[in-house]
Amino acid sequence: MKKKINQTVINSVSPITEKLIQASRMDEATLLNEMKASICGYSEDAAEILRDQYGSNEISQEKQESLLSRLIGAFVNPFTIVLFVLALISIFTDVILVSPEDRNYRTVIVITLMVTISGLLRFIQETRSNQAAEKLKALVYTTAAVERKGEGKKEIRLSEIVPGDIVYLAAGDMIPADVRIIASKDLFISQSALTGESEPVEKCVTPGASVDNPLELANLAFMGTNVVSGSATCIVLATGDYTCFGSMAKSITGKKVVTSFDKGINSVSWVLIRFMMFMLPIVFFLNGFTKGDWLEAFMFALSVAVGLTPEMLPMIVTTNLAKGAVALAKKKTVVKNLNSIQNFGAMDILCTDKTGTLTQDKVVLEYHLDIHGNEDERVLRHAFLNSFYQTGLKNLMDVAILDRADQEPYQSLKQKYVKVDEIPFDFNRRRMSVVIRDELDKTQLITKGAVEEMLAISSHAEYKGNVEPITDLIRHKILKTVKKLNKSGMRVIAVAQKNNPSVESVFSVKDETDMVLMGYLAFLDPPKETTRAAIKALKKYGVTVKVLTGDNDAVTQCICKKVGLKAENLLLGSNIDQMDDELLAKEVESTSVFAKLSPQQKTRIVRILRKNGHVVGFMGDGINDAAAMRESDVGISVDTAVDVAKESADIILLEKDLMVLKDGIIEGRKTFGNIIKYIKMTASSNFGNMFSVVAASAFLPFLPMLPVQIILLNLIYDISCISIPWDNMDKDYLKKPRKWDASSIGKFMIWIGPTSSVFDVITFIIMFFIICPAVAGGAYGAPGVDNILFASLFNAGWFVESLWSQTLVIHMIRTPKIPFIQSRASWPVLFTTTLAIIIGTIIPYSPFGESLRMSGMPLIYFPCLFGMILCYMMLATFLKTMYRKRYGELL
Amino acid sequence: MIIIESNIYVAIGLFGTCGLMLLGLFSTYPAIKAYEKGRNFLKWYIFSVLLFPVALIASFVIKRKRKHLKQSKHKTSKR
Repeated sequence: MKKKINQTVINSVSPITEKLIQASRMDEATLLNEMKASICGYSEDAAEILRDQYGSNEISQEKQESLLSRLIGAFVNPFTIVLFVLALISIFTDVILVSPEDRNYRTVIVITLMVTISGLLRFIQETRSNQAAEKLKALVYTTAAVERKGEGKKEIRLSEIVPGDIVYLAAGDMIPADVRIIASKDLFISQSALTGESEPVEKCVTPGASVDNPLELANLAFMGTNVVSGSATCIVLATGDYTCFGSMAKSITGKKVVTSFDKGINSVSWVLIRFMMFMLPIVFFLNGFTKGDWLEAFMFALSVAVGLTPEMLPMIVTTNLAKGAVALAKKKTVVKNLNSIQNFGAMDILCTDKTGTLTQDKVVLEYHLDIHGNEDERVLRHAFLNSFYQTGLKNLMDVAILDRADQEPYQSLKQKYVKVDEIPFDFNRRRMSVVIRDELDKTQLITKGAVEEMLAISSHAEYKGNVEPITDLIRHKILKTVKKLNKSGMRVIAVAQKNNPSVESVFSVKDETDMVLMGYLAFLDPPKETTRAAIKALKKYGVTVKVLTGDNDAVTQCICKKVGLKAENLLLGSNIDQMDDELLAKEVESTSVFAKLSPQQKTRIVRILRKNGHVVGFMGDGINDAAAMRESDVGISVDTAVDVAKESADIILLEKDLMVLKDGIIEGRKTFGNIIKYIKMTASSNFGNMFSVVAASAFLPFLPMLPVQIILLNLIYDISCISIPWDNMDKDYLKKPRKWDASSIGKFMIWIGPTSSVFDVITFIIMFFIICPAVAGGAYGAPGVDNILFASLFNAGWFVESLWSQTLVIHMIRTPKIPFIQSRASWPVLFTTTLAIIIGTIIPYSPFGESLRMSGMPLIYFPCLFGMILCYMMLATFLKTMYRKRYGELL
Repeated sequence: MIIIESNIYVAIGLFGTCGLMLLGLFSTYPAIKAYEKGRNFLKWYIFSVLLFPVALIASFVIKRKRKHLKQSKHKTSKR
């Protein structure tokens, strides 16, 4: 599989492969010369010139669609194409093929007007939604550290990087462009985005074996990949579309995972389109044979097809999602991926890391102790030197150490020592080291890390003023002291040192042996003030919180108790490794707290929870959370998270307040509710119309509505639906996670759809046998009866009734309660639906209606209409009750 | 006043369709009643469409199935 992907890489990037391979084989000076760059970096002005030359460091596919293409997209859809066909036919039948005095431009004008209105509406709405989404995305951006002449190391946006820039990489960073590594330390890079290979690859300054595939060259790193551990200095070789990632973007984005939401929307669209395909020939032949006018039968069938096409579905879905994203932005939450709002509402399990998410992002160093548990300045001094000189990712504990040692005598240590080397942190060793040299040329390796791992590499301890071998008794005492600190909620790490380690300047993990344990650092990592309330609120809304942390069990249990989570039943990473997927699938259901987990174990738990049928969210901020976030349905991170975590997240919290999670879930459920409301409404309404149209085509001697009238009806109804994203949802609906269930749409359609058809057929009966004969002077086809007036009156009668019932169905379906009395729609929905009804009712009495061949109904029509609508609402309420008794809920 | 005259075919078609549709919709009632008493919804729906008055009376008369009764009691005690 890996081979296959790599081959794709070679094929896709062949034009730039040669250039990259050449760059990997050049020495540093030649390469800098070739790139016209310098190790001191470009000046800001020079970088600006290069940016003009090469463009911004962005992939074309991620750039915004142009105004023109969006405008074309808004006008080219089944609805406008059919309208265009109708207009074309009308030009022939009403203008070209008739005598000059009989020429009638009205239909053409009306259709052009309708195309303009529907296209513009779609364009405006989609532009607004896209702009809102882009604005939100701009709030969260990733930066990279580059060298700028005269300014030194500087953080700039990834998009501002130019070829020839000197870039510094550390653990957690995204690789900003295709780069050549010129200096590195234990650098491991995850290339899974390009190769599919999950294991990180070691990179260094030498190219390694001669190969054709640039991805296998050890001194090249590529855009789209990320640093797992280690650090490096690199020269940028290519940016934007000129990178491997850029040239493969089409194939990579084409393979984007289709979510259950996308699948659901597609399946609904296809069900409705299949209906339309099934209906088209039936309606065409029925009308052709019974009425004899095949051109009109074709136009009618085509218009019915347009009516059944869910042409507004994409717009309504996008508007709903964008509206949800804007509402969340007001609560300082950025939605990067619009579809994830729906998943937010569907989420029933939230897995969360502990540090920085449940706890505050400010860790405080409480104690620096020797191994007996007494305060010791030397421990803090060594910890300070380690944290100060490390160039990798400074975590919260490093920051706490530097904060605590922000005065003398620690600050003057910077002048007394120089850094020689560094062995960066990784999640397997769970420790990191720096090598420093003092004024007397004495070198010292200082290591800090998790207590168990530090004990494993320490052979001696500073015990009662002497350096003694670590015996079982000393080890037992150390672990006892640490456990005591852990139980009081302290996070503890150990510090060890070693004098004159190995040969200078070539240090590696192998040197981290036979160390002398000096003592511990105990940090207070208090929970956020809002954590307890947020967990309680999430529980109320049907979301179970599970803690997945790399930290040890004692600290995790202490924090969990503080925030109101049951932590008695706890699973460790080592337990999980011994379980097969089947056993773990059972255990994850009953366990809320998982400790001492590796990134792979976090990912496995999320995968198994999803396999168990849950919609899983993962909230984290570290490199070790990125994979689990990608595996989850909705990845949540914070603005202060490492780059790779932010890149993996769908949702970013800009503020520390966790209560925003509850707001997000409610917003997600509202969004989902409004989308599903529109889909169920459209599906059932279209299904019902199918019966009405077939009955009319089979039994009526003329068309029940003219093609242009059907299109107009459809346009008015669609406009009235634009306000649906702004509708309210009942409070009861918001209390449960809402998961996409495509089968419920089919059931709903079959149950509720025929309700409106009954009243359509009753309208046919009333119009055909009572009202039209009364106005036209007798039964249809009888001598002396104005059949044209009869048909135009009938058309108008069904037009108005159909609009009333279709519009009122919005109010019927939006709630299981009694509409208007127990649950009222939002003001925008009330306004648009009322306006649609008023406009639709007036049209038959206007010259515009006359031009569409409609006649005004007599007054007697309206008591009949009110009676029918009342009965319709009663019947719909009856069926809603039956439906709920059968399936439990309405939407 | 209903004026049919020569439009018999239209009248039969429309009245027939309307009647069948109403029958289809109201047949859900006995089917749901029977379903709540532990019976198969689809079978009872077909029964209702074919013999609505009989199905309506039968749905009131039939007893709740024992297994279903236990389940509903269990649900009530859980609450």
